[in-house]
Amino acid sequence: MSQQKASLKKMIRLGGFIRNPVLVQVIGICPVAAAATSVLNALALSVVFSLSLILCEVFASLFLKKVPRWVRMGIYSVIGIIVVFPVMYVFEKYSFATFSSLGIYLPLMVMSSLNCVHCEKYAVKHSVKLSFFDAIASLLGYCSILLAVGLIREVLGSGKILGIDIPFIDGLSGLLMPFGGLFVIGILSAAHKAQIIKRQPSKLHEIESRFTLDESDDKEATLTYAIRNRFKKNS
Amino acid sequence: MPGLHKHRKKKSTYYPDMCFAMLVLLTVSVALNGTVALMNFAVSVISAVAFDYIGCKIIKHKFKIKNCHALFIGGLTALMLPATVPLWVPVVSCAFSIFLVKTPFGSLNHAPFSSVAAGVAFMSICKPDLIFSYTSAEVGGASIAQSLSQGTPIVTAVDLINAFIGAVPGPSGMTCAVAMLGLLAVVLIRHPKSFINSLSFLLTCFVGAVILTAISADNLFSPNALRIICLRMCSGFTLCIAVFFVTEEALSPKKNLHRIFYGVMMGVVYIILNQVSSYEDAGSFAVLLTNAFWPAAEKYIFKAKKKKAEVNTVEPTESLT
Repeated sequence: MSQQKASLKKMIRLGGFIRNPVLVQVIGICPVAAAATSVLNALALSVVFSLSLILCEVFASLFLKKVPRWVRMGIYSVIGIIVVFPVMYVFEKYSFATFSSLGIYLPLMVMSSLNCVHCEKYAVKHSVKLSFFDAIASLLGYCSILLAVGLIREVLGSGKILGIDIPFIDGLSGLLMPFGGLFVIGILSAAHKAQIIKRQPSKLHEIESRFTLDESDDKEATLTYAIRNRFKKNS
Repeated sequence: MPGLHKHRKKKSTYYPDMCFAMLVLLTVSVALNGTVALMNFAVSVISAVAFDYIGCKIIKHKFKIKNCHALFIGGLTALMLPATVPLWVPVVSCAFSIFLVKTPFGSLNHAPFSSVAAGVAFMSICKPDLIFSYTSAEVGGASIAQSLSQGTPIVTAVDLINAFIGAVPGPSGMTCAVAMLGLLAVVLIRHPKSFINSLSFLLTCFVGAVILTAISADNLFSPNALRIICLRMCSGFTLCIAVFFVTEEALSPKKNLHRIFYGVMMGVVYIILNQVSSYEDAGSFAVLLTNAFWPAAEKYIFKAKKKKAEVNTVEPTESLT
């Protein structure tokens, strides 16, 4: 039990903080840069991401280990649809303002790069429990940055916090645009790297080696590669 | 040991010269707008120096005020904004210029974009109502650039002499065409190579102004059409770019031919952006776009030329053999 706890703690420290999905691995930054313009939006995105990633990783770990990679990709998008569409319906009915401000980025989360990378790199190679832990660790890292970016942009961009006006702060609307989001991510990324250098210099190599899939893996992921190989085998 | 001096790196006088040049514009601005302009200028310069000091501390570089880059950023930012703008606007603009454009790239000569242009562009996006609102008794608050871009008849009401001396609405230090032309003369004397950039930029803008006027006016040689061409050349950031941005030493190419192409490219981008954008003057955006695409354009244009030259030199030897 203590080993499991230590493992979860280690995974959260490594996957959530040291190799943060947004600041270090630069995965899934599109919704962060474009849609996280307020705390509420960030919260809504966090809920969708959490449901989608946990479901995907657990499902991939349980059933997809022996399925070819190009089929798995399609299954991830199906899981994405199963999660995102009901959430969209709920938002449209009960919080139309959030739904409209998230715009196209909510349906786009059907095929999230965060899901694909974590399922492919981790879930299909590990047990269900470890995959679940990995999902939790990545989600903590991802959602914390999502909320931080949403908060900073809401305060500085529109001069509000949770929709309430802050006196003496005149919003800089440029920060609500996607380029403003990228600026905020850049600043947070620099601050994160500075913290790593200051507190854990031995872990610096961890943030400098990025997530890369092997070229051969990429080839195998394509449908054309699979079909060509099938024909080759048949002939 | 006279030989020692040969190896000593010559210190650039570009930014100090430009800072002195700005004092002329500041004087004109104070004369036209009152002490508000001086206040804005002072706040902007002090904040730019303070931010640069903090930025240098963050990246552990030695802070050098002698290179005058921080003064250049602060001063030019204040002169590009209206005199009546709230004091926090130049401060935010300088913070953006230094913390997000200058400091992350290391130091003065490493930033790929003009810091001042980036700061002003950011504020133009965030607060267009503050950046492009001018107060003047002369033409009721609308600048020449605005009336030219909207095609309003205010242009005909503007006195050309007023436009030359700067008694028209516009950015606090950029309305006086006479002063700007004087500064161009300073550039010619002190930095003759940089003047190539300015000249090619101004000629491109002139051609653009003639073409745009020819499209809208019936007779290109009528007094009104010539007046509009003059106003197009004097209005907005045209002269400001020619003096301060296209010549900026840290970003300008070094070879003469490259300088000509650089000036032409900035001119073309400026004319196109002014026609397309919703802002009355897209000068800062044009500078940033040129900064972004110039390295690729330079590589493409001059690589192709080099290849052609190589082919031309190879051909005769082949024929001989």
